[in-house]
Parts: sequence; structure tokens; C-alpha cells
Amino acid sequence: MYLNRAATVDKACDLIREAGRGGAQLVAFPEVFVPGFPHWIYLDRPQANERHFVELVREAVEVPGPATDALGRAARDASAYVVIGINERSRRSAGELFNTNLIFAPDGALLGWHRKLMPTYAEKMIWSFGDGSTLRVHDTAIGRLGTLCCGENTNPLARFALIAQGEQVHVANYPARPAGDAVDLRYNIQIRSAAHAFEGKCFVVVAGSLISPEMREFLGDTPEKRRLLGDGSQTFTGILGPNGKVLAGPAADDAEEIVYGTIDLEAIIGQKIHHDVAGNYNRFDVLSLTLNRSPLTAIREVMAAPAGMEITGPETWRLLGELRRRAGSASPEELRALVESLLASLPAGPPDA
Amino acid sequence: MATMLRVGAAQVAPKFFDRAGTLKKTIGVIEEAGRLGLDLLVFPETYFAAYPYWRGAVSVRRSTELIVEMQRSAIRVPGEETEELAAAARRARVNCVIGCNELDDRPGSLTLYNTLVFVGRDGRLLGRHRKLMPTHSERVYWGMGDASDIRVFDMDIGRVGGLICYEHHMTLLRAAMAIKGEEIHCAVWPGWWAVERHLGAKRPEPGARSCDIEPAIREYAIENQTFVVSSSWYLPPGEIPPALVDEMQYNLAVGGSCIVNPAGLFVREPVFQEETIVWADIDLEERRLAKAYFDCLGHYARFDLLSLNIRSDAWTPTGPKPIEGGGHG
Repeated sequence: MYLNRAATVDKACDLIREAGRGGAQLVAFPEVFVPGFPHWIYLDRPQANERHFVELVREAVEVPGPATDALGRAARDASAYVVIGINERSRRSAGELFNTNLIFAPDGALLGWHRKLMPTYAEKMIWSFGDGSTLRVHDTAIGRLGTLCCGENTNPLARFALIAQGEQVHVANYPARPAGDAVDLRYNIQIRSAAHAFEGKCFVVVAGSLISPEMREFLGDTPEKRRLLGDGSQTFTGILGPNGKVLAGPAADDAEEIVYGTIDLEAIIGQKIHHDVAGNYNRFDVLSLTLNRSPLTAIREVMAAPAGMEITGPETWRLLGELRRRAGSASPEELRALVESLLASLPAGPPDA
Repeated sequence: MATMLRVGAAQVAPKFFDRAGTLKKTIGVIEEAGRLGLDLLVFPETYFAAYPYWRGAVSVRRSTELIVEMQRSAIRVPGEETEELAAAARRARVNCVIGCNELDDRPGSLTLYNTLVFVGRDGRLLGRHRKLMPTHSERVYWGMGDASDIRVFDMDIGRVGGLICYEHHMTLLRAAMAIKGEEIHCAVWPGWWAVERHLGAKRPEPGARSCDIEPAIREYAIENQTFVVSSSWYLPPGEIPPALVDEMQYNLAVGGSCIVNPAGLFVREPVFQEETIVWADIDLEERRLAKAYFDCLGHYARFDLLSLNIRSDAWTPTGPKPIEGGGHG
């Protein structure tokens, strides 16, 4: 439902529930599925495209917000993890977007998100870039889950950052390109997905989008644009195993379809025996990666603690570390106990303000 | 140090997409500046040897072909061309700041940067400033600079820095230049334009009051208490390569070079529609009055509340590296 956030979210929620009924424990959607990929950047002059940018910002997703609430409910109804690409609205700027993959847990919680690190070529006119704070692999009930958007899957250092965090299931998502496009996207996606699967010994779940007849109608408002858009899509939707082979899909070119596959995380171990770039097949004494985790922020606010309230005790720091390590896995009771010990470790009562 | 200086902007057209031709012409312009007795000469944004005046007006596909043309006529810093330019600066006794398309000096890379090259009249290549964030569709053409590009250079005439086009609207970058101790600022632009309702819709118009250059450089001078030498493109119609005539719909190169004092007043009003060196005599002592009234680095600052983070390392493929040499702060 191109450039229509509410309708696209409804459609995504229906698909999540349908996939859940189909037994899916992980549901992956294409890049910037909500409310769609800005195909106009490849069809017209930048200046002529500015009206579309305004529409895209208007229909982009606030995180958190009503759209993410709805997606979370659908994930809960389906009891599935969901990775979905969205155009994310910036909170600091009225005209800024990020290309973001959201990750929902089967309890409906927003488990994490990843902002595309570097938009590709003309995409730089649409999206700001992300930072290392979101380049994360998440511990889940279906394995260690990571994701990259589109061209990021050709960034060797970004890919290695996920592999080295123990990634077992990788979601790569893509837009579509016109069928006659000089870029053979279908082939490109399969090659790089297989490369990542083989190098990381992980499963790669690939979701690609389509250019629907309605989108062609909307975008193709001149003969030249209709020529560029052609009359079909090319993309790739399928699942690859840790040996690099396609084990499900790919979906047909121009029909909407949910591709299902069954993966066995145990299969990773056999592959790792031969070639483990996150372990025995590497030379970290010679080559290792630095990952800058700092979020990119416009301002760094600082506020000194009131006298006597500085958190300097080793016990407080130890408990803070434990809280950080266990925040994702501890039960509510354990969390409560941790927070209570943390508070108890602080100096007694604050001075009156 | 002499306080009276003669500074100017080279409002001249390069030989578009022609590296050797542009080098030859540039050396002639530097010699002319020497005859005029200039202490500092500033060439416009990516003067060497193309600004993408087709940007915004051609498809992204076509722009890719034109990037290759830009690569072919770009220079490396340092490189053969910068050596010849430094020699010309020494012979003519003119400090030069030159906008160029810079081809990455990292082996294996062919990324272009939108760069200012600083050449001292002692014949030394002092360094470069790469534009930190290309504007909108410019991001298709140029990579981004890093913290090592926030620099001010010691010349015999004082501390000279430069920013490129819309960097003048980057609040924190302007502040960084002041913090680095800039005294004479070089501002470079692709021309002069009228703006209608919003910044994406520019058209070339000599003297247009809606152009954001004038408030930007006058405010820069007031805020940072510097002189500003502002250099804009002028591209005579005959200098546009025939193959590009139809595509250069974003050709803003009507001139507009000018010079501003630390009170934000024009020492030399913008000059349009001619190839010329726009120059003026300035007195560095004028900075004293401005600083007495308003000093963003001293008595008018509240660094206890607000301070600026400037990275002290540059990005490389193998990690951050401390920034060496040149600059202040």
C-alpha cells in the first residue's frame, strides 16, 4: 500500500498473522516495507522528486508509536519474531529519515532495531546514516539473530561485525528493481546472501519487495518513467543454509508470496568444523575489527551528581554491569531484586533540592 | 607582521573537465594576482575542474557517467598539479586557496572529495580541507571529510581557513573554525542565485537579494570576527562543453565574489558576469574593534555551560588515527 503507512501496517499485520498460522517462528519483510521504497530517486531529477520526499516523511513511522504497537501485537498474535524494514522518522528533525529494520519478539516487545549505516548512492538524498550502536546480534529463542539492509550486505566489515557476535540467523532485506534494469538484482542478492551464509555459517533469510502495478501507475507519470519502470519486478525472496545453498524459494518474480523454510541450527556446527571465521579459522592476533558503539548524537548532556551522590562505589558499578548483562534475560522478579540491591548500594538519601 | 593586506577572489572559469588546460590557466591567474600585489587569492568551489551544474537536472544514471569525467580531471593532494601550483604561488608571492575535485590519495580508492587546497607563498603545500557533508544530490559525487579537515593554516599573513558552500550554514562547524583561531576566512561557492520559497529551487540571478550567500558570509564575519574572502564561479557560456549545454540546468555560475570585514560589511560588493580578480585592501587591525565588542572565544563565551566536541582523530580503514600537523585548537 505504497506511501500509505496505516494501510501498509495493516497489510503487514495480516501477513504476520498468516505466517504465524503457517507455523513461522520468524517473519522477515523487505527493506523499508512501510510505507515503501523511494523508487523515484532512480526515475527523475532530484529536484522533481522533492514532493515525493515530503509524502514519504509524512507516511514514515515513529518508533515507538501506533504503527510499532500494531506490529508488536501482530507478532504476539503470531507468536513469532518479526524483522521489518521501515522508513523511520527522526525525533530530532522534522525532515530526517532513517532506513531501519525493526525486530519484534513473540511477546510483542520491540527487541531492537538497526539503522542502515550508509545509504547507497542516490539513497543518500533520502536517509541519514545509522551508527554502530545498532549493529547488534540479539539472543532469541530461535538463535542469535542479526540483520542488515540491502547494500550493507556487501559491506565486509559490517557483515563480520555480526558474524563475530555469533550470528546464527541473518535477515537481509531488499527493495525490488524493474525487471529490465541493468542491475541484475536477483543474481546479486543470491550471490551476496550465499557469501554471507557461507562465511558466517549462518542461515540467511532474504525478503525482497515487488513493484506492484499500482506503484508503477503512481510512479510512472511520464513515458520515460514508464519505460524505466518496465512491466515487472526483480528481487529475491528465499532462505539459504550455512553451506550457501538455497533451501527455500526463491519466490516467483511478480507474485506476492510467503516463502517458508525449516532451519536446523545444529547444521551450523558441522559447517563450522571446516571453516569458522568467527573462531578457529581466523587470526585475531593479526586482524581484528574495531566497532564504534557510540550513538551519533547532536548534543552530549552532562550533569554533575550533587555532592556526596557521585556513583563511585565498586559495588554499584558491579551491579550496574550485572543489570546490563542480564536485562534481556532476567525474570521480572530477578530484575526487581537487582534494582533493589543497586539502590541499596547508593549513598543514603539525596540532599534536599 | 604587516596589518595591511591585499586579498582577492579569482572569479575565473577553469577549462571544464580539462586538467592540463586548467592548470595552465590557473598559473596565469596566479601570476596576474602577483602583478596586482595580492597577498591571498581564493579560487571557487571545485574550480579544478568541474562543479556538477547538471546535478538535480539529470537522472542519477547519467550522473554516474559524469562522475567518471570528474575523476579524470581531478587532482591528487599532494600531486603533480599541487607542486606546480605551489611553485607558481612562490614565484608570484601570492598565498593561494584553490577549490578542486580531489581524487582520493588512498591507493585503491577512486572517491572524489570536494576540497580546498591551501598553498603558501613560500612554495609549501600547507594542506587541505575536504567538505564535511556534501549537500543533497552532491552526496552522489563526493565523499565526506573528517575531523582532520577542520583546519586553519598558519600563513605569513595570519591564520587562514576555508569552508565550502553550505558548510557555512553548519552551526557547529562555524564555531569550530573560530575555536581553531581563524583570522581570515575563505568562502567558496558555485555562483550566486535567487531562491524561491525553498532552497531546492534555485536559479542563477546576478545580485539576487534572496541568495543565502550574503547573510551567511556577513553573519560569519560578525560571529567569528574574521575577514571573509568569498569566491564564486563565473562560467562564460563559451566555456561550457557543448555536450553539457542542455544538461547544465543548474548552472549558477554568474559570479558574485566579494569581500567582507569583521563588522559584517562589504569591503568589496559582489561582482557579477565577468571574469576578473575581485580584490580589496584590508586592515587586520579592524579585528581589534570587533573583538573588543564581541569575542566568541573570550569575554562573550560561556564555555562552562557550552563547549564543543571536536574529534582529535581521523577515520581510516584501520581505525581512528591521531591528527598530525597543521591547524590549531
